[in-house]
Amino acid sequence: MNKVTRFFREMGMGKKILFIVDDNDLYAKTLKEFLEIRFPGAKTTLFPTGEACLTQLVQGPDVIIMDHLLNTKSANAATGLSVIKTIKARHTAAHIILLSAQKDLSVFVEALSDYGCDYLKKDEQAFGKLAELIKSKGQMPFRPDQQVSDQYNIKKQISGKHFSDKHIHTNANNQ
Amino acid sequence: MVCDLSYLTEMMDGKKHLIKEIMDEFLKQIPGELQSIDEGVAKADFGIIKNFSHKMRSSVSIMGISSLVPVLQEMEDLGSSASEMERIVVLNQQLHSICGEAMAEIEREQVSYE
Repeated sequence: MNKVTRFFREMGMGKKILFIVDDNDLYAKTLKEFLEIRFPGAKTTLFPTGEACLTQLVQGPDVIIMDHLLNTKSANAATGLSVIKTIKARHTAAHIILLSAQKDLSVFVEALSDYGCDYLKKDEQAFGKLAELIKSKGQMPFRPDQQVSDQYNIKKQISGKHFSDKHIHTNANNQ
Repeated sequence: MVCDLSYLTEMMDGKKHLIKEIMDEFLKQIPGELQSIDEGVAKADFGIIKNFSHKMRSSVSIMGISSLVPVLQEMEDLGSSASEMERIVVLNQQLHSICGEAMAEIEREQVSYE
């Protein structure tokens, strides 16, 4: 951790830092409120583009939740995957979760296999699964009444590639 | 009823002020998204249609407007394949109609969240 990052962490008084990168304000704000309810000790910041997120990496986020298509506000905005590539090149320790409604399997196959991210499909169970995923990584103190369930099946094979259970989190109904 | 607020209510732990804020955001955001899709249709710009249909799928999921999911999915697919503009026009009319109903419902519902 460099000096600037340490400064930001100390300013946050030990609070866990969550970044949400999504150009959909409605979705991002709803997710922010949800996560702040589930993880009362977290400080959540929203970014409409990956470029905006990159400028704040110095804060040392614990978790980055990244959408893939981010170009409805800024036509030239980079995709989530290309931003993840940049983040990884900076050796950031953040746990990155690609949260997308993408149908293009190659996007999350690359995120999983090349960058070690987790992937969650944006569906009506995404928030709950996201909270469970963050909790399972031990990155946040969880509200005690929220229990991890095992209701979500895990895909092990996508497009001929095999991945470990820990990275892929999808709805069994969508398989 | 085209909206099902049970998901939002559960996610917000039933906190009325938060649900009201999300409703406000929905009412603020949806007209702009519809307008963007209209512009895409008017310009026959399949890329805009694809991008905003994709974005709106997330928006409507928050409010539990399940009837719009297949409409938006088809619009996104047609935008992606840059085909069947006539079909997109028909789907866009459905989109406007259901969004109109949804916004009216949410405006009525908001009163009970104040």
